[in-house]
Amino acid sequence: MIVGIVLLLLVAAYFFRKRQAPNDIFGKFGLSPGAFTLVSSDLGDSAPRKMLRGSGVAGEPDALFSAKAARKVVVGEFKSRKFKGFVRPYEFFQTILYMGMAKQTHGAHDAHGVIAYADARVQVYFDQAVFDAIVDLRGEMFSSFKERKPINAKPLQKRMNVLSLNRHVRFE
Amino acid sequence: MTRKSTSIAASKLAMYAADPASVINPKKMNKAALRYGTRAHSKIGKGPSLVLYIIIALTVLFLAFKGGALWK
Repeated sequence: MIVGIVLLLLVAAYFFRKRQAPNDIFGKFGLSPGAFTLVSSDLGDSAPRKMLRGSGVAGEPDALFSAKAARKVVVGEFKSRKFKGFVRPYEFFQTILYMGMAKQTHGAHDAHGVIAYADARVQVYFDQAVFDAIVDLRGEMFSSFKERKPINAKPLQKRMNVLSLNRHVRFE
Repeated sequence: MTRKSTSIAASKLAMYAADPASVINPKKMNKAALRYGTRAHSKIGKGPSLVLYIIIALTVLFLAFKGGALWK
């Protein structure tokens, strides 16, 4: 009798934890499972994975959510390092790229980004001008590979103001 | 004749935008940091281990079979 109850509790605990696993992903990015659907994720093993393609760029964000009540997508990027008060330009550009691609792929009106660190979260607002500027670097990157040296060694953050819509973000 | 378009990895393009030289002449990666990052990624949203639950269930059955004090 006791054995039966213990085994039954074990089975129940296993399925409960399995069902709760995707909620960890929502929690990491500060989103509510009631308001968003998890479209894809390469975190853990509890969600399907989907590649985003658009503007000659391909990639898979750590998590992609879709709002239940609006045509809005949220891109979540997880970084295992501590925040230390700054975002690396690479992390910011990667998030903007995924946001633009997700917006195109899912026909969303709005895209939002969240970079989750081990100890903090940073919100990123989509900036079409920055997205276009990054995509425009595609040709330059191919030429740089051909030449085996950067055609223009200046990083994008020194060529234009990439934080005009994200003034709260501080770079390293 | 159709020409297949070339897609570029978003992470690589983002890295190029942030520091063009780092992509064209990449430095050696810190393997330990890379391993730590991969482990941290796979930990989030990971479901329970089925093997662990089977081991617990088998232990419970074994203890019950042996008739330990717990079951009397």
